Amino acid sequence: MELSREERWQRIVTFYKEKFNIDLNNYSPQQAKLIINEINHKLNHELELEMKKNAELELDIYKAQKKIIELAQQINDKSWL
Amino acid sequence: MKERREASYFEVVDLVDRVLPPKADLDYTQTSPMEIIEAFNEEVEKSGLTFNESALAEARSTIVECFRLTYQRKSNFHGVPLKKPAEGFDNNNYFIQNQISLAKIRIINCLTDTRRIIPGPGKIINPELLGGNLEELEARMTKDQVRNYVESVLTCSFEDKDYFEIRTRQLAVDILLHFGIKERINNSQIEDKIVRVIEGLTLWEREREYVSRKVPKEEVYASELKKAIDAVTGIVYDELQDRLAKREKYEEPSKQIEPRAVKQGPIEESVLKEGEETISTYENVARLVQETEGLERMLKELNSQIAGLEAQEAELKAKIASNKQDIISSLSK
Repeated sequence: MELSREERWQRIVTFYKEKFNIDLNNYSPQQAKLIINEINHKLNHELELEMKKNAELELDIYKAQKKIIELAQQINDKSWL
Repeated sequence: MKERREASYFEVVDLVDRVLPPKADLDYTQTSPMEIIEAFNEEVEKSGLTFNESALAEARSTIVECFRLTYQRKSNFHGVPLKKPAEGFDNNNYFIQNQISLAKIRIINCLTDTRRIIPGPGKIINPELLGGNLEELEARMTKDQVRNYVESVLTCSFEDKDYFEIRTRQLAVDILLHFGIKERINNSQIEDKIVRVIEGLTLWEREREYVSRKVPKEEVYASELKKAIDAVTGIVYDELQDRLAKREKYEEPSKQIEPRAVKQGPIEESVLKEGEETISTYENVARLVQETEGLERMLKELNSQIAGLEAQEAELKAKIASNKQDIISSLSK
């Protein structure tokens, strides 16, 4: 069931109070818009950084797994000597 | 009874200016130290300002000491006895001007206690940057006001222009003190800059440029004086702006939007969407952070496995080498 505008706004206000300690109802609509823009900008930046970090970690994991395979092969080759 | 209050920096500067040369009404060549002290006490009383008693005592003894070193001296700077003490305010007394400037700075310092002066709203900023209350300074320091003060200090008639030769540093210090730019004399770049400009007023005559230009001396002087006023105004004003800019860095920026009790109008759809975007982005970031932690744990485990395998490989290599050695030894027997 779709929420009404009021319910949607209330959900946003509650979220901002819990996560950022900001009461959007204390501000005019223009001010609230500015605050939301600012926070979205920061969150998007954080998201980008986290995605980049994840990508680097995945690459490191791939390289580590490859190395493990190589080492296991070498050990196997040497063990019958 | 009129309620007394603490003096601000600029009130002290103005008070000291009323007591000590060059602006004071007293003729120091005809005055005794006690008369100067009485004049000082009278000015303090009239001002309605309250001062620390030991600071006042220090100020008085500074005045007496200054007087003793200047107008009461029996010999000039080089130790040559004077025909009469204190041969006039204008009499080759660069030394006197320096002593008076030193005394002024000392008195202003002890009466204001600059470590306590707080420019700006209740914060102790680096007091070396500004010598006084910021609001007062801002009231004094529009470019026009700076120019007016500089003009009042520097303007004198053509006949009296030689006065500048012996008073250049005194004038520079007076100007700087007036705007709360407190420097030690003889050790200040800005003071030197102003001194060079004022000295230029007296040098032009020596170059005798006006002779070849066939312009009346008074006219040339008036034009040079105006240039000097413009130059000194520029120097002082730029210095004040620079110090204010530095001082502002110390303030905590209060750029947060202050909440006001505002009647909420209808919320725009775009604002609702952006607000919902916040929620989804926040959840995405939280999820990614958890994934990152998982990946970091996995990588740590893999690195640990690699270390184990490398150790195993090294052991094998050593064993192989040892076996080879045994075989070679047994074959050679």
